[in-house]
Amino acid sequence: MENKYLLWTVAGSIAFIPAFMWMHFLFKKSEEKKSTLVVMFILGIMTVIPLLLVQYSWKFFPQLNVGQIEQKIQNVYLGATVMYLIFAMMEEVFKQWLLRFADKKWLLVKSVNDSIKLSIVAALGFSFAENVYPYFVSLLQSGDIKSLIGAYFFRCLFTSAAHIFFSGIFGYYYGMSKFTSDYRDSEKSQGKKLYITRFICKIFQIPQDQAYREQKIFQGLAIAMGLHAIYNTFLSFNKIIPALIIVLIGFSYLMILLRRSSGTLDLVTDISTKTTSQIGEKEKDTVIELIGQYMNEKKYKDVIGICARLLEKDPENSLAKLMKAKAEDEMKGVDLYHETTEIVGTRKEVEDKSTFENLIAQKNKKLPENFQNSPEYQKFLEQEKKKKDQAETFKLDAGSGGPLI
Amino acid sequence: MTDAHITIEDIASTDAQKHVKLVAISGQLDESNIDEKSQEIYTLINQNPQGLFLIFDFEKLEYMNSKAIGYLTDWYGKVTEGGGKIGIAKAKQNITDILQVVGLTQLISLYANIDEAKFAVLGG
Repeated sequence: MENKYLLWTVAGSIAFIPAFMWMHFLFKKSEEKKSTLVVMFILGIMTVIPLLLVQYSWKFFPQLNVGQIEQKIQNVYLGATVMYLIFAMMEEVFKQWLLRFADKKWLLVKSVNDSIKLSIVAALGFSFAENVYPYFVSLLQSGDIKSLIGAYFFRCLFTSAAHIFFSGIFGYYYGMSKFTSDYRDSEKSQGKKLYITRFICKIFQIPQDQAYREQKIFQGLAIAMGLHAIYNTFLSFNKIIPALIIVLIGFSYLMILLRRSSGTLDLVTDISTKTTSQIGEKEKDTVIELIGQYMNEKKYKDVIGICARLLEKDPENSLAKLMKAKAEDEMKGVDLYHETTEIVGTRKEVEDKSTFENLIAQKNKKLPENFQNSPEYQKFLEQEKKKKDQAETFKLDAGSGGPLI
Repeated sequence: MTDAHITIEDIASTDAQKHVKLVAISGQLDESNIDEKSQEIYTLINQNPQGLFLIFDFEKLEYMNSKAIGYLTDWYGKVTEGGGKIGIAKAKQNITDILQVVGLTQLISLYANIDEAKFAVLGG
């Protein structure tokens, strides 16, 4: 193909089809605004610009060229791993920066799932741009149709799914970092010691909220970069099966995360409409502590019941909302293990060890309401009074019956 | 250790099979004392495995932590298993709030005074 405009148009068009299909598949039932998705997609495309600039800068600073660094490492596997780790780091860093930038500017993330979805859209934009250039443009230029078809399907299906997974994982952690107080408190209530957060707190002399937030962002970035590097390294050594396994498991895990009720919770608090709590702070802490304890003990029904009652007294309590949603997710078995067993046809029932529910069921006899007005209760009171009077009389008799000396 | 006191008093009952106790708890039940204090109630339950009727007087109880709630639930289970009953009287508003939210009021009824609790637990 000699006409450059035609070449880029064809490459762009064929790369857009899978991007559109992925978007349709992932967001057809989503409540995200279409305009937001489009903006994030375009911004995702633009994240290749800094990457291209970095690569362009190697012309002037060849000592920074990742390819040269690789060549200096004797071990071929180690060299390739380092190179792909650096590439993965750069890609993930720019993609995560985009999500953080967009959220800071437009406050887009209102739930963990929002964060995952926007991160995925940005990844699709990036993947689209990467598919166009260098892959499809060079393959179209070469005229090797067989390689183009092979690369097209592989990149559109698996590489896109891989990008979705890596960025989605980061989005998940970014979402947790955004709602730091709720997620940190839920972990705390479940008895987690948060050693890393406390360590970061001490080292950088920052508040615990900030330490937890930074920890989650770094954790998400590290996992995304690590998995991306492993995926790239496998592919570079033509180990397609393990690379596909990573993508398959990771993508399935991400889809499960997106289905969790806790992820869809809108955790943004509107201070102007906040209602006052009808329960004291100390009492609330006691209840939250118990909820965490029951979550650990797999008493999910009890957790759901307690959270529902707490929300009646304190409707804005986002921690109670989060814990309730988490318990509901556990009850439904929305996790990799239960979902996999369902696919295989050996789904295991979720174990629930709730005590209150069982005890309530056992409770057989109940007093009628307003028994205080019943004749039985009045009779009982009279008998009690008589008993007391008798006891008093006995005391007086005993006192007067003693020696009078 | 935070201050908490438990006093146990026998209540006369016309039915010899019923062991009725008035358990008054005062102070604060928290992490520092709950394990130790709970043993007094467990001893009482162990001494009267059948037909134990407990009336808790919470008039002077200022605070109870999540562990205390756990113990209260466990006592309820043990006492009812032996054919007994539990009632709570004169609980302060903050204690009532905790018990309601946790769901314990669905199992153990709260009463305004000891007489109501006695009637409900013994005769109701």
